[in-house]
Amino acid sequence: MDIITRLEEVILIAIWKLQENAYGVTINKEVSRSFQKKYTMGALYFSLDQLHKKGFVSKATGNPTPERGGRSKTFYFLTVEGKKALQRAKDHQEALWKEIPDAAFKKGEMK
Amino acid sequence: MKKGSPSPGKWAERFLSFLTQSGERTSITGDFAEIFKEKVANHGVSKARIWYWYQAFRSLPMFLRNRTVWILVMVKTFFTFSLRNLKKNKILSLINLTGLSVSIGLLLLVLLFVRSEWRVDRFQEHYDRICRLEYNDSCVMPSGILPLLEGKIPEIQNTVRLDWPNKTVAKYKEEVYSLNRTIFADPSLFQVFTLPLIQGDAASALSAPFNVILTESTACRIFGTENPVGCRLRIDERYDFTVTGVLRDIKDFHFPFDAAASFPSIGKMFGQKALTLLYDGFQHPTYILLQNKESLPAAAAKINTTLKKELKLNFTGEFKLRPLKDIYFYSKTLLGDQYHLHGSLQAIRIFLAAAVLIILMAAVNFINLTTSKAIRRAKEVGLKKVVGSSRAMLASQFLLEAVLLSVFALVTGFLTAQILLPLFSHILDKPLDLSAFLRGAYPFLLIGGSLLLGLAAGIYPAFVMSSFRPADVLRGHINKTGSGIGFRKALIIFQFSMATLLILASLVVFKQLRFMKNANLGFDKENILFLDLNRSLRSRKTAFKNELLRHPRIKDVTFSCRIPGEIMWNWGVEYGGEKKSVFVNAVDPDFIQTYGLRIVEGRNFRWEQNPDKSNRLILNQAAVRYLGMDSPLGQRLSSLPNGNGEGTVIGVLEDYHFNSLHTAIKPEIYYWLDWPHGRISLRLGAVEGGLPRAGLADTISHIKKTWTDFCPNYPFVFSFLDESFDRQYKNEEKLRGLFTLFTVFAVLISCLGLMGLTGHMVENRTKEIGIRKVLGSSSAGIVVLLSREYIRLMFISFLVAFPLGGWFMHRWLQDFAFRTEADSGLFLLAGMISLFVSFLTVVFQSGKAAAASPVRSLRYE
Repeated sequence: MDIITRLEEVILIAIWKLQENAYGVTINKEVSRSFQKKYTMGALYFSLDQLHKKGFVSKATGNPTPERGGRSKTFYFLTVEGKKALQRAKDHQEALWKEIPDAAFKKGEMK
Repeated sequence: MKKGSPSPGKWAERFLSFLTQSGERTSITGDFAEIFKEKVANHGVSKARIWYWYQAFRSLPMFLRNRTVWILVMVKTFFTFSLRNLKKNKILSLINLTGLSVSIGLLLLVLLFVRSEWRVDRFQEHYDRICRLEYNDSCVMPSGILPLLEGKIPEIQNTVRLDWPNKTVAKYKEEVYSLNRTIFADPSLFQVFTLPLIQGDAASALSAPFNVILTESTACRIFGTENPVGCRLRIDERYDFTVTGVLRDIKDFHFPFDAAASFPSIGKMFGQKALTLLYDGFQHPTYILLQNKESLPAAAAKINTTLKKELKLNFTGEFKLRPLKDIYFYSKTLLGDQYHLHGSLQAIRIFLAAAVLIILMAAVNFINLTTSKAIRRAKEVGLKKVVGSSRAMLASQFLLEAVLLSVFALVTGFLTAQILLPLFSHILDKPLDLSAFLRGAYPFLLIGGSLLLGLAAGIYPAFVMSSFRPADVLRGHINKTGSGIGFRKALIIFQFSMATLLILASLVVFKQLRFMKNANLGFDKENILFLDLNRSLRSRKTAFKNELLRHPRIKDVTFSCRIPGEIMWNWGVEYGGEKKSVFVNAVDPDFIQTYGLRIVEGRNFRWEQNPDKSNRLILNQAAVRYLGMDSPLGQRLSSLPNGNGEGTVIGVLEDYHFNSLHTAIKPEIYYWLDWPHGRISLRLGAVEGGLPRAGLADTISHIKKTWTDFCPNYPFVFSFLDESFDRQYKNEEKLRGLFTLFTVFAVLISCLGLMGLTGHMVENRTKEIGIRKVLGSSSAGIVVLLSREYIRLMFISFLVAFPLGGWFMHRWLQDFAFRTEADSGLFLLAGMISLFVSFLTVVFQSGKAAAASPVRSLRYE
């Protein structure tokens, strides 16, 4: 199976971290904080849509709140598939780094 | 949202909800609203609003990507439906497609023609800043005018004088080549005009006397593969010119030439005086390059003041500067088309209008046929609506069908254009190439245009068809003939009035052309044949003439400077202390006899009277009137182009049409010149009882033999006067050709539409026809019954077409000094033609139904 992208990874982790409170605004804040740059809402929705299609997240409509002008939120939750995908990404990352000896990395850094 | 709390703005919110899909709209706009509120608290309302818009725009690609997927899914279904429908109604689709593709094809051809007309001169680098110096109607100036302006008008950056194109012969290595358009040009030619030299130096090519530059094809003709630069050419057996440059062949330039000799050569050839003429020798097109295009009015005003001061003349007219962009389309010069290209904006307008009319007619067919068959699709519409389709969605499906058809018609239209192209180029006498439309922005424009056409034709049917109410349709309660009958009738009337209008227009053009070609010109153009004179004949012209006359069929031979159909020299003569512009022609005493002209007063020149040779004049009646002579005989005129510039009137010629019937007869003055360099005209006797041109071969071989005996170095070229004279009607011939083409297709398209409509009507009334026949109606009676309605519409369409056509044709005819009338017979004929053709169509369709056995038609359900 494909490895998820870095953006998808960050979004999935954000959703995981936010638990019951993962919806557009909060996810955007988490992702922006993680990348240390402002993220466009549209880009986020698109990625969320993709993740939803792949079955990594599930959606649920919440209750309307007054600060949103009476409009409801769409909450996102991590599915089992999503968690597996995150795990795969992590394993892949570690496996990738293991192939490079520490010494070589430090040398490169000093240069 | 609570009142008073800040909002991102109505339009911003609408924009965002427009972008989002219905399923996720609330949550996304909610998210936006939440952040917006936070931004308002932190940064203020305006910044928050900017953020809102910015975010919405930044997200545009993402949203669109989402939306497009759904649109594509929908379009795919629509496509399937549309194709299915087009296939189902094969005849209907075929009629629509034929009409649309023929009309698109014609429009493409017309656009191609317009494009090629529009390109003339536009390649000039200084296109905006070049203008031509003109005086009243004259586009040519004497040679000395321009030097008067030198250094006096700061607006002028540069100038160039050219010359009236002459026919010359060039001799190179004992071979003689004719150069049909030889001009003189100032050295500044290349600074004013963008004419790329392939060989030679633009700065010096035309500076010294007896330098000449040739166009590439001329150089190839003479020198072949040899390098022409530096070679010597003997021009007219008299002057040696050195080739100093080769010009790339001139295309799309209003003043084409084959060879350009340096202007200083004029001084060496005809004396320095010829370079400083002020009042005579109007033969130099004079171009001015301005510093900038805005300075044209200022420059023109200064030119007028300067010249009026310098010329010390009582001017009635005015010097004008005609910008280059107007020269091709607007200048009415007296030069022939071969020398000065002319475009006709009128022709462009007429052709465009006709092409658009035909497109409209094809669109009308589409609208009529589609709406009349709408009933067939009522069930489809009803069912779709029940299932939940919105009206907008249905309408867009019908629109898509129309657009699909018109885009398809673009492809077939292109093919139609390709098929008609040879014919079209032939009619217009202009090589055209359709591949121009495959380059640059054209494909997009064309596709865009056909999309628009589809939308325009499809919008009304889409509106009608999507309006059916499902309950009515499914219960079968619907008007069988479909709705909007009145509108459809109006469209038929429109269509037929346009077809009749085109028929009428073609008839008028035909009639005017026939009138002009058969008009009594005041001289006999049928039996005249002419040759070009050349210098080698000068000393032996009498011997040559006598040798020609030895053939029994050659009755008269005359030498003249110009022959009918050509443009006479424009000259300023002085009479009664006034300078007046007239037209002069140098002839010999046999001219009047050869052309069968009539002297109404006085006498002809006499061979035996020597003084007749230099200072005796014959005027035409127009000249007598123009100069205001009461008793013309014996009147004296001065500053003439002959011997000593003086002349006495000895005869008055009855007015005849030296030029085409476009123009009124001009004031003409004839004088006898011993050697009028120009043409030899021969009058041939008619063979009794035979065709006018019968047995000519023998005569021509005699002429040819005489020619090769006298001047073996010159190519033998002869022409018939009637042909060359009628070439003046080339524009009308083009118009006639195109009108015929347009009319045929217009009638075809409207008949196709009519055929579809009657076919549909007959189908709807099959049962009625059957019952009528059973009850004893005759076939003819049924045909009358079915066609009556259409015939009525035809007559109404005449009420539109005739006044409109009459008015248009009256306006068109105004351009001719001598014209025929668009009389009632013509209207009658036009009406008869369109009535007959459409009656035939209707009878063909209804006849089938009327002839069918009633048993069959009653059993069809």
